[in-house]
Amino acid sequence: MRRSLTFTLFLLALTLGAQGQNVKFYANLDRTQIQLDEQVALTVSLEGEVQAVPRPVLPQLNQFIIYEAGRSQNFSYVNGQVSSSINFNYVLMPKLAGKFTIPPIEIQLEGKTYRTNPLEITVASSRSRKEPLQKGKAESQRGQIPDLWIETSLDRDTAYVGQQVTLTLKFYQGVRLFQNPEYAPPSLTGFWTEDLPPQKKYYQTIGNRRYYIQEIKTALFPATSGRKTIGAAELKCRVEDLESFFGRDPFSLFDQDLTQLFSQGKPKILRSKPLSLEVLSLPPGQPENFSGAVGKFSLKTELDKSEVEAGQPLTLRITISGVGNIKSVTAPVIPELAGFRTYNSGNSENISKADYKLQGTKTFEQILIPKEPGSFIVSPLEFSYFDVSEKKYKTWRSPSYTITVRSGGPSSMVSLPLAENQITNKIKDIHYLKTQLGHSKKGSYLYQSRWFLVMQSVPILALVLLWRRQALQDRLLGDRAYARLKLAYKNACKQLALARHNLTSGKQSEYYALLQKGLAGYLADKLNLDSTAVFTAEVVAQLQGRSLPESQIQLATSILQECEQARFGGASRDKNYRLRLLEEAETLLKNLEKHKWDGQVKTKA
Amino acid sequence: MKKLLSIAAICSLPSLALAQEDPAEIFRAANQAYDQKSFSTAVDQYQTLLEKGTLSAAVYYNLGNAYFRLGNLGEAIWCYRKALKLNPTDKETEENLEFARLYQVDKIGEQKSFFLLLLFTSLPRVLGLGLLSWLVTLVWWLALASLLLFFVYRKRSKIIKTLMLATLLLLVWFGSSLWSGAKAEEKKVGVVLAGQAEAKSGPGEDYLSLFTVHQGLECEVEEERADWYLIYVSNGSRGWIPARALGLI
Repeated sequence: MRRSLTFTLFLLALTLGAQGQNVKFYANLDRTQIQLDEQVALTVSLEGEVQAVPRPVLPQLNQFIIYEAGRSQNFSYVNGQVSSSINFNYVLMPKLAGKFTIPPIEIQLEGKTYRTNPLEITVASSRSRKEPLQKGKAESQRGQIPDLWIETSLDRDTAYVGQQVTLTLKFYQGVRLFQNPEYAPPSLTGFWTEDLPPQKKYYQTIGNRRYYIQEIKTALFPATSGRKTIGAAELKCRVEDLESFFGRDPFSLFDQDLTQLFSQGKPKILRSKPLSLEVLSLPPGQPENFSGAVGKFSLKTELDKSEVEAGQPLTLRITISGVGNIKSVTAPVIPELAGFRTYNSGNSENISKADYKLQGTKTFEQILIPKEPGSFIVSPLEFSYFDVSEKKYKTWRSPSYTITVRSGGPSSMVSLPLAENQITNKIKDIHYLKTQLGHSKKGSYLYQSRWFLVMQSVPILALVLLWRRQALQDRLLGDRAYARLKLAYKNACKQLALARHNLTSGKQSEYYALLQKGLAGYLADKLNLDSTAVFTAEVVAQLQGRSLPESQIQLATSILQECEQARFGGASRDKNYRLRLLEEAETLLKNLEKHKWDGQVKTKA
Repeated sequence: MKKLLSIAAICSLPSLALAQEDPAEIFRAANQAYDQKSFSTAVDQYQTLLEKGTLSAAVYYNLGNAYFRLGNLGEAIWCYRKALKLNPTDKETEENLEFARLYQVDKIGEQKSFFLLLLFTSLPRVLGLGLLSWLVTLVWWLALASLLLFFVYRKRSKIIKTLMLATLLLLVWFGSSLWSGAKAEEKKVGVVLAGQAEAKSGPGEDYLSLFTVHQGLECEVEEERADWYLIYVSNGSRGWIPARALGLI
């Protein structure tokens, strides 16, 4: 395995290395004389060390139909010389008889144009187009029975519009096929078509040869009148080609590439001849209700009940059966039924292709719902068709039906028939009416209004505020210095308020004590000092160190000294003086509170 | 005497007219016509109410009933859907709609949803989007309150923990349901009113017919163009039908 891979790579390297040298480009035909209904294989070959070979350009060949049949590539290594060849295969089918020249075929390789030699071919007129069986026999007598051929036929030459014509394709196979043939049906423009299975397969001996025959049938229904052409059918297949492989000389085997023996065979394209059909218009005198049905049909109608309550459904079943294009048959026109609602509940088909004839039954179901009580008559339905065997129009007429409609109670007021595949439900009827009118608000749900957003966001705000408050509380409880700092003014104000209260009623010493407590306490709280220390020069120094205005420090000192003297020195002052002193203290506190104390006081937990 | 009678008659005319204009009176008269099985008359009177601007789920519901009795499935389903839009939790309307759907010609088949998905899609239908909005708000408040108690006031009892977890889960459930309901509400929905209509591959009669729809079929409307709607049926089919064949809800 490894060796062979190395060898292949070696060959490839040689090929690539010597690219563009010793190129040979030529073409040949497997035969130079053929009949009009035969085909010829054209092989275009390129030999030499080339890579990226483009497709050759075939000249215009109007006299032939050309099919590509693939390409093959070979490497050979003879006496130390490596060569490769590429074959492009084509199948040519002549359109005309005569002698023709296939002009040179060109290929472009690395900016250089290579041309093949022109080829001569003679196409003889086709053998007489008789029945293939006869052809086979005639050929067998000459010892020239073809291996494969196809033929198409119609079961009639003339037909009416809408009448079934059966197209049969027969494939005669006398050799082994390499793969399933590809069938291209003929063009059937202007026909409504229907496949007619099953395929017939049988053996038949023609001449001294046994053929395997396959039949494919198709029903055609012409849509319009006039002469119609059914195009040629085509069958592509690959057959074994031992003759071309071995040649006439048995020793030529050694000149051939053995891999070709196991290739996919020789391509073959089979074509049938086009057919023609005369399509006749339907004769005049069509009945009024004729809707195009051609064949042989019958009509049957059935009403499931003749007595019913108002609102209860009845089913009118119309069945048309027979031979012809049953799929295209339409329902007969149902006469206007006053006092009824009609409702098409569906169609069903039962199609058969027995004996390769399209036939069957088509059923139309019509629901009739009486609106009010009374007696009603359903007029006869009519269905017309063209009978091809008798070549005249025929009309079927259904019987008329009388329906008695009783008035029904509320429980029977089911208006519509239950459709198929219904889901079982406990409810037997719709609920009764609403008796309260009520008024519904138009429009919006809560989530669509802006209040909805407000309602969602306000609690978040509340949550944040409460969290902040709780955090403050926690700090006040845990940090004494901070608590003193924050509550100093509030406590001082309380003391001054008490002092004001004692201004008239209380003793002077109490007044001064409260005033001193308020102011000294404030300063002590702000500086986080023991309140007894306010009198010291150290306090004054601390106040000065905190950038307090000198005037405020002096005022505080003087008020506190005044209080000290009054309390312990026995100095007495009148009420106005005390009031002024109190107001001075209040103003001082307000001014001191404006000062930024935070950050200057060292707090400790 | 005759003169007096004619004067009395003339005087009573405006009051009669007023009675006829009163929506409650028209509603009562329509219901009476329905009871007497004059369904067409009932339909006309319910329609009059709607034309006068009376917006009432009950009118649509009763009109749906009248249409159903007349065998007009498309209009009946359309009316029930309109009634449900105004009053989404009305059990009777929902059941009548389900009953009417049994008569639909086009059986689309229920699309099987993942059962967890049903938890979210069914809630708006059961509770209605209005109530669901309130519930979302309530649960949101409760969730915030439990968070406040747990984190701010450090109440770490089992009750608080359970409340917090429950409200958060409910919030996810209700919130997602509201979102899915709101999305569904935005969709344009219609009901086929014509007996049947061909769904075409493009907005015009010349286009290829893709499938046939029958009256009563409910579908989504994805696009609107020159008197044609592009409809989407829940089985995945799409096609253009004439606007006149469809009633938008």
